[in-house]
Amino acid sequence: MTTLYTFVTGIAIILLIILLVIAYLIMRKFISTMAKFVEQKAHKVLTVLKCPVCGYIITREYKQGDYVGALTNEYCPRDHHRLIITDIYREISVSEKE
Amino acid sequence: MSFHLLDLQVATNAHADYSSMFYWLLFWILVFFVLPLFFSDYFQLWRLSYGVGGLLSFLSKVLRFNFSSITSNVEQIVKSKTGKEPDRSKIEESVKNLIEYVVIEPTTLETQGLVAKLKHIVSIYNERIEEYVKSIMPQIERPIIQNFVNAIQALRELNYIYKVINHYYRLALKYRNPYPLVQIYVLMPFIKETANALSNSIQTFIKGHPIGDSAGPMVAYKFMHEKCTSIEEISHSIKDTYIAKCIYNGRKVYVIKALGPGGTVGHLDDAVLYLIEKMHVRPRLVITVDAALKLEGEKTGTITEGIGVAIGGIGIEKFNIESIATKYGIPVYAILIKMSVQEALTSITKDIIDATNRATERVCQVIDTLSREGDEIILVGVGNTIGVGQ
Repeated sequence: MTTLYTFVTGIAIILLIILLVIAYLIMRKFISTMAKFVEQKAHKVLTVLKCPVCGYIITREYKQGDYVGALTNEYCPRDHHRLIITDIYREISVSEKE
Repeated sequence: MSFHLLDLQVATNAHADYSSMFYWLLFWILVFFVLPLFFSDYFQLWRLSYGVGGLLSFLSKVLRFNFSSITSNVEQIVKSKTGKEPDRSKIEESVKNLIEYVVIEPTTLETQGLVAKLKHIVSIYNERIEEYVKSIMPQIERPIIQNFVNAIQALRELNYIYKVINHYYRLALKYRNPYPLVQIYVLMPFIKETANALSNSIQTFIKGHPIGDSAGPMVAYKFMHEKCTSIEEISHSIKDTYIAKCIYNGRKVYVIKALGPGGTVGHLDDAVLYLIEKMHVRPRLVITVDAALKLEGEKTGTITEGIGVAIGGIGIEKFNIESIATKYGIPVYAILIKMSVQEALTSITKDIIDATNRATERVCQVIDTLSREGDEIILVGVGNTIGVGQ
């Protein structure tokens, strides 16, 4: 009988220890996730320029000072009119989309 | 005799077995049921304080990163524009003062004229904060000042979140009470998401990119330049607001949006009031286009139509437009572009750009369906116009 008690007690203590370790690991993982701060990755931002006369569209990387509606100093290769910025957007990665 | 003795010994052993089994059971009942009953609060307090402490550490890192990002960008811009080395400690001191700036809401004991009082206080706050930023960034163009005002406002919001959580964390530890921490623990993922969105928005405001919330002003811009003819700007004295008149399919459309490309939301309610009461415009329809928060499972860029005034914020502008529309019996129509908090506050994505094109088409459909040639329409592009001109 005593052997049985010792056996069951031993199993219970081992289970208790395993549960405590699992709880600690889950908590540590949760806390480290919460405390983790990752700086925002520099996304690629694109500017879409359009010729107001012929509708020619060109996309290039965003430059400081670009804004939607701005008349740029870049010219349409077809009719040499000044291009207007019609859209600015950032590219998103597949992981971000998910 | 020896037989009886043996019987007695077996009985005694059995009694001893039952007795030890009772103590054994009592011990485990104590371990599993009674101890947790008395110490559960302490265990919870210990566990929750670790979790909330982790969140506080995250918020503190976010705050420090964005604070130094704002101050170093201010320093760099001032240096490049004026050619002088600015005083970094003065900039840091000013930004610290700005993020601690307090706006006291008017009393609600008497509700008469509450919205007007709130509008007055918000206007004063916006003016003061802009003057303050201008004082640390002398000789800098207004759009850049406006973008930094937005960045500092987002940092102020982050600082407030940090302070409130820190307050309840310390209170819970002080009184050994886990329940304030339970509430924070439940909200932790949402708080982290909001903090991340605010942190990313600060970086976007500094760079001056259009954000998801700029979808409304972008639709107003696209409608004016892609669908209308004879665009004519209307002169007025309303701060940071643009009003133009254009012709679409024989209808006179008055387009209202915040004055870009600096980060501002303008005074759209004042513009609607100006058109109706000062210019005696009698619109067949007032259409508001705004970015709206999507629910989990909804797709970014979904367009939703509805009745009512689509303006977020604390509700001052919404109240004023609703009041004037009710006074003159004007139908109000809303077009919403769905997106998440993160998308609304960070650089606009291609999905939202595509949605603005679809929303512009939807505005045309609404005007064609609900009005006739010769009618007057007011179209309001609601949202922060950062990176969007007119």
